[in-house]
Amino acid sequence: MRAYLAVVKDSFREAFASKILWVLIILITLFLLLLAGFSVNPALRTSFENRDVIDMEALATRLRDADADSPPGRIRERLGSELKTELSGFQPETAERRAKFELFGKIQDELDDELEEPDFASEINVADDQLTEEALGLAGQGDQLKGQQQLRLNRLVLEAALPDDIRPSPSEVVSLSYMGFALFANENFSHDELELGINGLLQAFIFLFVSVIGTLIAIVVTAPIVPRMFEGGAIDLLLSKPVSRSLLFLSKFFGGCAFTLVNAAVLIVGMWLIIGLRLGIWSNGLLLSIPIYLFLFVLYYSVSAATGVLYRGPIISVVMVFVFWFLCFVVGTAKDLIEGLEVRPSTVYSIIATDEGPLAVNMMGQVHTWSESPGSWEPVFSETEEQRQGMPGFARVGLRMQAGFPFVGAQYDQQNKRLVVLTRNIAFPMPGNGPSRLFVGQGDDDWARRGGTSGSAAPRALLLSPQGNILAVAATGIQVFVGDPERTATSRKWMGLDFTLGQAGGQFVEATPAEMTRWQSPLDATIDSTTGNVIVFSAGELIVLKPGTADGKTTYTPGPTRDLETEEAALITAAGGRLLVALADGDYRLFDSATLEPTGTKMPRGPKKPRQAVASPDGRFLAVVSHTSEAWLIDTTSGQALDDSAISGDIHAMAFDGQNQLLVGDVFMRVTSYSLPDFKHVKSYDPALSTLQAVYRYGVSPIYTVFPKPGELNVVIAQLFEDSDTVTVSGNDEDLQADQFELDIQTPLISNGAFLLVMLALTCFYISRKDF
Amino acid sequence: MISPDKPDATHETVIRVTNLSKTYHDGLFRKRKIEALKGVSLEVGQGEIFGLLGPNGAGKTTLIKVLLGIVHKTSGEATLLGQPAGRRAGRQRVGYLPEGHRIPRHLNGNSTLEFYGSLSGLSVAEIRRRRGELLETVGLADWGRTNVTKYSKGMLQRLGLAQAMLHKPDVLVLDEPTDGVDPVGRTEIREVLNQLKSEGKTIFLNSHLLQEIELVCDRVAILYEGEVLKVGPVAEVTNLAGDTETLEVTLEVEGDAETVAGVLPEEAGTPLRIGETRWRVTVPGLSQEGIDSLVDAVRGQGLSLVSISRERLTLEEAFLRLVRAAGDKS
Repeated sequence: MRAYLAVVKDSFREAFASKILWVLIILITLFLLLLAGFSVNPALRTSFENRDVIDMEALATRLRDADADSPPGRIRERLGSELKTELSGFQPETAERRAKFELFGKIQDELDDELEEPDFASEINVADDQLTEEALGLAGQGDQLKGQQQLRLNRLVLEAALPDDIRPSPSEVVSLSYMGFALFANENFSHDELELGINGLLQAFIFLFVSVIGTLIAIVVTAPIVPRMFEGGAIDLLLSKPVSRSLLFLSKFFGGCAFTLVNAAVLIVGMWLIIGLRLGIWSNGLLLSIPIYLFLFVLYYSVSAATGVLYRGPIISVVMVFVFWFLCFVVGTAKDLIEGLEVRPSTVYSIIATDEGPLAVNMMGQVHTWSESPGSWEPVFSETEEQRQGMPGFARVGLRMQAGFPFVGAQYDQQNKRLVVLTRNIAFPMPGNGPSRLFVGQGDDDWARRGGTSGSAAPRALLLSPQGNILAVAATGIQVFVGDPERTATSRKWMGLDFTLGQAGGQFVEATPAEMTRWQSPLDATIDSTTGNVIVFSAGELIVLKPGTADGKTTYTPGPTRDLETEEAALITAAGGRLLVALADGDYRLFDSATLEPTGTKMPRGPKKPRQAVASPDGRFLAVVSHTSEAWLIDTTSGQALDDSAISGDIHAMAFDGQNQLLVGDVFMRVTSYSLPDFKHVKSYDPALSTLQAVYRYGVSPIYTVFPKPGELNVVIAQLFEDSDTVTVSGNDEDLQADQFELDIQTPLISNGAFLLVMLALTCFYISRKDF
Repeated sequence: MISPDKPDATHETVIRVTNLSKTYHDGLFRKRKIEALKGVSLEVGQGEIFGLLGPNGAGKTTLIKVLLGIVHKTSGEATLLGQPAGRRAGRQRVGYLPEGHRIPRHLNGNSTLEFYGSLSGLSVAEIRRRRGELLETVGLADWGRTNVTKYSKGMLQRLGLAQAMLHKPDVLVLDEPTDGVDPVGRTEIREVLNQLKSEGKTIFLNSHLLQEIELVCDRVAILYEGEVLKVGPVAEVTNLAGDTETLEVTLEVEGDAETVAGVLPEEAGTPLRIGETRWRVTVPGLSQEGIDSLVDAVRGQGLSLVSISRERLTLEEAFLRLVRAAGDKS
């Protein structure tokens, strides 16, 4: 052992004797000194921004309707007369979107101005029991309040006056400065916001400067180490010593990482200390990225060292590393490209069991029906030109890729024999944005897409009541569709303006009490078709809403509730009196869907990050498929998880049909049905592969699987910073239905580790057989 | 009695090579064969200084590398200190100075000894205890802290020798140890080798400086194109035992010119007058019988035989003759 440690020690000696190392250390030190110029200063959040508003439309409505004697009413009275007039005439259902945004902008501007008035807090006069401790503390100081503190009190009073519409602001915020100069125009950040921003910057820095530029420098600098060791006159002296050839090489190899370790450690530990001490953010992800980065380097270095042993030249070692990198890049890019073009669009994201066989929906929201001859999926339910709202197809594709799965829900209405789809609303200020829309289609009409009524803002679930009512669940409550969903309402977009061309076939009407508290995100809802009860999961709380009628209108009245005491997001599904709650952390629980009492059935743990939860019509079988393509199935009669090993493939969707058969959706539009609980294969809907799909399945994918994936180690670094095993495209982690990419740590570590072992083993084998 | 190709029977055999062959494969498909060693056999006893001679490409370095396990043999047997060649236990007791060795440029004298000593299994404390004396022995006492990039070629050789001696090995394998060393340094290295010999160390020396070999070696082997031409004590090799026809005999006789000319065989050179009636003549290619009959003839003619001496070849001459003869044969 002593001999091998001597080799490692010698490598450090060699590293420290290197002038390049000292040049880099000096550069790193200069960079750290520059970084040390940043500092944070305590600040108070006093302004009012758009981001503070939970729902602008709800805020505008509340200000419009508020009693003049109430705090919101008093706030309204302080607004300018022009804005007050606009507010009083505000009709969210009919107002044009452009007009709405203009109004919202004015509200934000004027409220922000109002907060600068010294008398705002006293005028609004919110009751003490509505104020936070911070606000009470400030209010207690009376006239002693200094400028910023007064503004802060105003802001807190505004939050207290409109608690359902304005997010509470953090009491402790900081502003960022560099060498004493304020940055970002005195914008302030909460600790979480600052941490999020800094972590994002650090992640980008690690990716660009450490794993790309750093690796490049390290590879060039370390390339001569192994060839130098194998030069004539050097290697024979080493091999004459009583040491193992393989261990000698491995000691030199790992010793060769000394240069990289020293640089990476000085840079990253330095950054960690400075960011921790100056900004108060101790980013463990940063420290943990050192071993990951070293692993990345070691991977490239194994190629460099093997070449060095074979050809004894540093230049060819560097060239071979580039060739290796390029091959990995080509394979990875080919895989990503084909996945983006062919695999993801042809992945079954949702299956809808109908009386006329299953409908498969891909991630673009394209609905397909199975055609036995020639055995392929035929697109149906396509948007007409009018429904497309003049938006070019490629833009919609891009948008859908951004927004994830485009449907809030797609359900089969057994009573009316029709497919009901509610599209997601897209609120981003970009072309093609718009409210969610309701579409229907019938089998005997070749599933032609009809309707197009605007839904409520940000619906989170589409449900069908046993009576065939179409329900949309949003944070504001349950809305029931009244009217004829088949009647087409179209609008055309021209020069950025909406022109409504047809009359809506109906509208969504609030069915929950107006005074009901808004539901909070994470939010999901389901309906138990045996009872007609809607169950809502709102930020860890379950609420049962019982159906009824009042004045001839369908209503839903809150009934039993249960606090699950969790901050996790969840998906819920109910059938046959049972309610499954699949929490994002893999904790799955079963309740009675009417009373919300636990059924007592011990649920086996399920996969994390569920993306679809479904129940068989009689409630006997419950199934969940996760964002990481794991399936979970349980027979509630036995409480046992079903052995789903019969299911193969990359599972993305599951559904039950009327016969309690399980439909499983895979990539390449493959759907397979199984009878339960024996998992007997019933039928496959397996279309022929396109050429590109075949290339992917039989060529690119197997090659990618066995190929090392150094680039994917950045995913591991991302995971260290994200602290999550998936990443959402939409940025909303709480939306379990939104498309999420798996942040797979294991695969890159295993495949790269295997590659490293194979490279080192082959090199050692070669050295042991070689005559020097 | 020392046998020609074996060490003194009283000495334990340290190196034994029997019918050793090594064939290298070269070329794109490794089709070209290079036979570096062809059935080499020799033995080296403990305490011997054994010299290995041969022109470039004779297989000297290959033989050393096989013994140290740096090169794998193709066939035959090779043992070092009773262990099959290449075994770590054998290498543990060997100090090696390769030809044209390279010491990493970031090291100085002290750290060189620390590095190679550790590879030989010594503790750093042990190395630090020994290195002062050792550097003094090889004449580098003041150079321990100097980076090796500042060393001359001769100094690097001395440092290489020091690292080979550091762990007090039983066998020293030195490949061109005096390469680049000035005459004074060579003398010093010779003294070191003699000192090591007196300590009972075995030294396997490979040098093309034949005078060096002649001065320090007990026995030598001459290697040519992978084969051993001759093994034996230096004196025997230079006498070229069994090949005396090629040797010259010089006589000094007292007598008149005519009588002297009459007794000399035809192949004799022209007598050289070195005194009034004294002559010196060289006769080449005489066998022992030829010498005897010549002496008889000289005495029979009443001439006085003042002196008779047989020419001794230098090792270099012997080496050249052997190699040329082998070259003519092949």
